[in-house]
Amino acid sequence: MNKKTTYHKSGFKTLESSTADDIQNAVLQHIPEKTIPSSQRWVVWVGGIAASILAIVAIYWTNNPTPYTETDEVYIVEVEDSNFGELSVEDYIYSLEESVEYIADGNEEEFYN
Amino acid sequence: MNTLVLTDKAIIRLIKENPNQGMRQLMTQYQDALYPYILTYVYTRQDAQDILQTTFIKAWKSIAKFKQQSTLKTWLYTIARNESLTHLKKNKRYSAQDVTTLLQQEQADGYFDGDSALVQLHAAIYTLPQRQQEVFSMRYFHDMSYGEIAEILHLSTGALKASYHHARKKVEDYIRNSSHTI
Repeated sequence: MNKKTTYHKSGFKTLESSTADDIQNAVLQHIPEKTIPSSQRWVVWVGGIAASILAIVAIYWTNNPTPYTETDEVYIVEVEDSNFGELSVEDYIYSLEESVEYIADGNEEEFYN
Repeated sequence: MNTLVLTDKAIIRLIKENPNQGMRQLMTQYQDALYPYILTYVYTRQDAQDILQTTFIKAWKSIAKFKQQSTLKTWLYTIARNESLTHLKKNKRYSAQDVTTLLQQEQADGYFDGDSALVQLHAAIYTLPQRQQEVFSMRYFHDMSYGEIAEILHLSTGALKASYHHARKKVEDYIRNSSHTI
């Protein structure tokens, strides 16, 4: 069946159906298939807020690690191939201080050999 | 095929519930009116189709802000008008002779169906100042009421009536002038 060509009062040919379809499809590419029903929108809000809080806490912890305190457990520092073996941090630092003093007293050569 | 016509409220509700289906309904319902309206600004098919597409995309983006203080029809015409004027600002303005040539070309391609008088009328409208051009076109070609035009152009109906009166006189003078015959 031949399609009847129609013209607007201004003389212009009306929009062809294939062109109209192309325009509609191009516009619909900008539009989501479905939106979230308003009854479920609170889930998105609560989830979004919770995720934001977690992200802030994570960033804070990364930039401000928990400082060492007297009450914390002693870290065990393994020093391989040393004469110190397994020492507590305090012992290790004490040993270093002793070594520095020893070298400062003019025993550098002896210390390294 | 008959097109199902929905009220503004029904279309807006449909867009909220199912944007895809709602926008398709809005486009189906208004595209046939908006397309020739845009054509009376830009006179070329390709430009008019591009502007029509942009009009619907802009409508989708701002539908949430549409407060229903005007009708969907005048709201869409306002967007289409703004898009058409933006297009005209970016491009070289035609002369009345350019419009005549364009229409004759469209006629040869089968996209314009009008006698020489209609071509002459378009050329005459194109010589008018912008506002008179729009008012005349909306009244004469698109059968809009002064109330609808007032919503689109943000003018009082009194000012529109004056504009239309002046436009009609100028168009008559133009056509009466034998030097402008096709």
